[in-house]
Amino acid sequence: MNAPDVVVKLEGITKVYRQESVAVHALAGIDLQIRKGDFAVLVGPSGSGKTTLLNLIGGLDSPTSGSIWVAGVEIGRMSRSQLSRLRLRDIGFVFQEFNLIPVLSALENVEFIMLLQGVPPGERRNRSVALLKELGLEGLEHRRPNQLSGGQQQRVAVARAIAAEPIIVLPDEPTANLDSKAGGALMDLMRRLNEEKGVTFVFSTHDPMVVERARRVIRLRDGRIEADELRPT
Amino acid sequence: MLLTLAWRNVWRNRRRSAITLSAIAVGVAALTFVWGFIDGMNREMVANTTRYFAGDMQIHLRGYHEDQTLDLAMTNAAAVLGTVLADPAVAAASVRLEGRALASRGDKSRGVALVGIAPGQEVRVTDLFKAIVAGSPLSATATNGVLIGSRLAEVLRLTVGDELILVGQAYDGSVASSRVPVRGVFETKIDELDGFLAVMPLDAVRDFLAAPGGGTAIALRLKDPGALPAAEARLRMSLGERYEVIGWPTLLPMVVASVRYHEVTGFVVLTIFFIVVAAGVANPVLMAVLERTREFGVMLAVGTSQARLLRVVLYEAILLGLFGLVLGNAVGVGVTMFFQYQGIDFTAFEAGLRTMPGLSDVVYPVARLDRSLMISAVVFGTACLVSLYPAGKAALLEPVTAMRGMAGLSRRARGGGGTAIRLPVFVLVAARNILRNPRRTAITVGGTAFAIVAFVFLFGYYDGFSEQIIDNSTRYLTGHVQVERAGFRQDLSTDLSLGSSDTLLAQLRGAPNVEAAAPRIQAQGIASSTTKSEGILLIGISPEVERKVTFIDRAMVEGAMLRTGDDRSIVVGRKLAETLNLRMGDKVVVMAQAADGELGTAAYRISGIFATESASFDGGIGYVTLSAAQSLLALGTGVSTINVRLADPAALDETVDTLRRHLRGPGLTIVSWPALLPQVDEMVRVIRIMRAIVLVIVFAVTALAVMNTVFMTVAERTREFGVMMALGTSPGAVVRLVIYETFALMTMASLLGYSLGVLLVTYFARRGLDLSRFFEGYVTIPGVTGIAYPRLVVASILGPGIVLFLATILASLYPAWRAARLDPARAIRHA
Repeated sequence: MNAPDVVVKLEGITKVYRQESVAVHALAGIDLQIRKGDFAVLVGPSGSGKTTLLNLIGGLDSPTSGSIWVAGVEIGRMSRSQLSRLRLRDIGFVFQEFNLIPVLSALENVEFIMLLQGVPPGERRNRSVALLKELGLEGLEHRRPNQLSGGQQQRVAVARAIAAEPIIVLPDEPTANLDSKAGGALMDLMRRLNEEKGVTFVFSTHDPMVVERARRVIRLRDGRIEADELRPT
Repeated sequence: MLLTLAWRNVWRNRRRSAITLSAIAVGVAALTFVWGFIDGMNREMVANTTRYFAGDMQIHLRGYHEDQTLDLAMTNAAAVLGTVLADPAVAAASVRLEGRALASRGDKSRGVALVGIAPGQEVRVTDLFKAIVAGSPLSATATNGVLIGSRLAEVLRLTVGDELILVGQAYDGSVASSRVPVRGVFETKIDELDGFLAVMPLDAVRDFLAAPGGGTAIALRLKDPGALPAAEARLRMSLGERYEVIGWPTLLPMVVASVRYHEVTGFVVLTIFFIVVAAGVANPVLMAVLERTREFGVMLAVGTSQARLLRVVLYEAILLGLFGLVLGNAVGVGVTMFFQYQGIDFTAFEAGLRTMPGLSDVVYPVARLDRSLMISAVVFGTACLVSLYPAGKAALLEPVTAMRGMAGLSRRARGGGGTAIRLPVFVLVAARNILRNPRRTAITVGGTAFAIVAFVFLFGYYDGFSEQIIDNSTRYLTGHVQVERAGFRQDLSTDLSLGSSDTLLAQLRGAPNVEAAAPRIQAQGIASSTTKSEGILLIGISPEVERKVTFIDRAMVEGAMLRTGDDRSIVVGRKLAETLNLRMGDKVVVMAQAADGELGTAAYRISGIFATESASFDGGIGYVTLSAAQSLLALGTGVSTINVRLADPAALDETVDTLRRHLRGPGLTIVSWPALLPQVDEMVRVIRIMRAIVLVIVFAVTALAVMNTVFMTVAERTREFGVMMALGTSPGAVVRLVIYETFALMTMASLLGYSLGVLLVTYFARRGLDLSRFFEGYVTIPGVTGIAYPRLVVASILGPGIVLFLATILASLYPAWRAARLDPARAIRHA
């Protein structure tokens, strides 16, 4: 990787899925660099490759060809357990369906990653409590996911994603299951985290409100980057 | 259309369908085989015991069956035979004259049933002649000669051509004796026949018993054994009140008792299987519905009626049930039929099997269409029945909430209790997951706990039963160890006495672990009342010393046990007293072969009657004092055996070794109870094998059911596992999580199962399990009593419990491994 502030770099990435006997070209040659502090969105119609690209960056999937570097390390040929460690250390995920662990409370969900990382109990407890407070979830720490509203659940998911201080957070359609008010609040929150804490975000979305708040918009069509534009802050 | 939908659903989740199928199939196959095995044993018992001697039915003068005395002989047997043969259902019939005699040769003797037959008629009724292994059958014109069983020949050391001396009581009350050449030896593998039956031409027995023209029984064979009840009723009509018509179930109550015992045991085992199989089937069917809430919501939303949805779910259960039945029946009937032709060789346990009348070494299971149909119907009905609940739940779903996910079926999480992570997180997650679906957890825990209860109870029952047989046999009859001259046990010969016992007794009493030692005399004899005779084991005891070794004195129901000096008294079992029609104070004449070669005869008065609940004790033993027996058998001061009671019966082998090293004497042997009571020892071994078979099948089905549950929990949480892995949870941690859940399930099931099982065993251990109805007539197993007391042997239930625990953990490794191999990107998208 050339520039020191590049956290993710993709070169000549293709991804072909086989569905029955038909080959589906999800990505057809992607070159992309994500810099530290980016607040970028991947936009495009359904099937344009947004989620596939996000999964490749997050080490959830491997490319058919091309190379991906995360924090300067090539991840294309990593084993399952190496990828697992990479996701634990460097990547934060926020999912469209929230996907909190249903049997854990809000606080425990946030603590979960730090626990896997081996953060001492006292420290992870303090950090989780502080994060939940910062995200406006004070008093809801011990509620289980199904006792929280969609917006609250997604904020817990954001807290979980940033708790371990990853180098990049990848929200996949984070507002798709939220009303506009909750969605707007969530985006403001993430933007604030980006500005104040320097957390790097790459979203995939259909939501104009998300696009509106982004500083970089990467447009995908048929598995290619159609446009990559920066917006003034 | 609905059927097509159900069909495709079955194929859609092949793994789940495969597990459901295998649960049904394993259950059906196991049930088929176990039932076939029990049927096979029963069929052989009935066929062998009737075909060699008893026949399908017998005709007597009224009252003879209850009181087998020559006074009740038919004087016009030929006329009765004619009436019997005229019945259309009767294939053949044969007149017999039965009596008791003491059979001797040299210094060896044994009480036998002496039966006179008409060879020409008999050969058409029974297969006794086909069982001749040496010599030849009696010819139709034979006027003399005797056929004896192989065991009797062995005991009396007789071969074909040797002469046998018979002594008995004739019709007129006089003593009859005769010298008869052995014509042939038969072997039916039925102890009562091989060891205690002597068959002679009818006229010879009539002469011997001074009963010319008489016959005590007419044995007959039916054209169709199934026509027994009808033929019985018809013959009763044609013969009238003077005669009794007795079918084989009454003639051979012990066979009926054995058959009933097998059926009861079989039904207990089958019921346990049914419940385990039902739990195994209920689980996947329930899960199949729960995990498709959203899909059912969509179907309801697009206008599918509740009834139709109910039918789709039911059809799925029916399809799975049918496949399972086909597979299970194919395997079960296949295996049963294979062994029906091959037989299952139990030669190693022959003595144990022979305790069941008519059984010997090879058991041939029977595949029966009616059994298969019944098993299929019940299992199929169970599958449909258990699917009704989830089907009903599916049909009652609210479409909108159902489409949103698991609402309506999944339990709402408990309120925020302020709990924090204190346990290791995966243990916590596992524990909470267990509570997440209480219904599924309840089914799995309940099913597994039931299996544990069943096995704990069965083991408790078998352990108690085995221990009871051992304890009763040793404490009533043999003690733990017997010191004797080599070979004494084979024929109880009076010339194999130990001589004077004082030195030996002193040595024994000084040996470690020996609690008490008592000298005894044991001999075969025949006891006669004024009207009847019966072969007995005559035991001479030194009353005060004997009391420390065996506890027969505690079983007295009338009078009292002998005291030293009661040399004119005899104590007999209640059944023997009934057979000989004797009461307290009545006179009994006992004849036995004495050591000087003469026939010893003595008269005693009954001074006590005991009842041990064991038919073989109560019906075949008479106790006299040591000095009375010494005098009868001309033994001087000699004794036959010294019987020893140990302080610690568990240290039997060590004690026997020590005694063998310390006791010296010409031809002296130390025999432990398993050798003294081989049928008890082998019965205990057979019981162990039976319980192992039951255990393996119950555990296999249980492990399968638990594996199925784990599969379901993994399948329904695919997305959750995907998320955890996306967040960086390692595959190893996922495997651990799944295993923790199985661990938690099994811990709950074990706690519940063991608690209930232990309670049940403890309850019945105190109260006793009254099975006397099933054991009456079980004369060949010494020590079997009517009431079984289950016993909790921690060591014997702990091992299988641990094995089940580990087996289920092992069974959960596969679904755990599958979970760890999930592709997180796809798993997250899993609906």
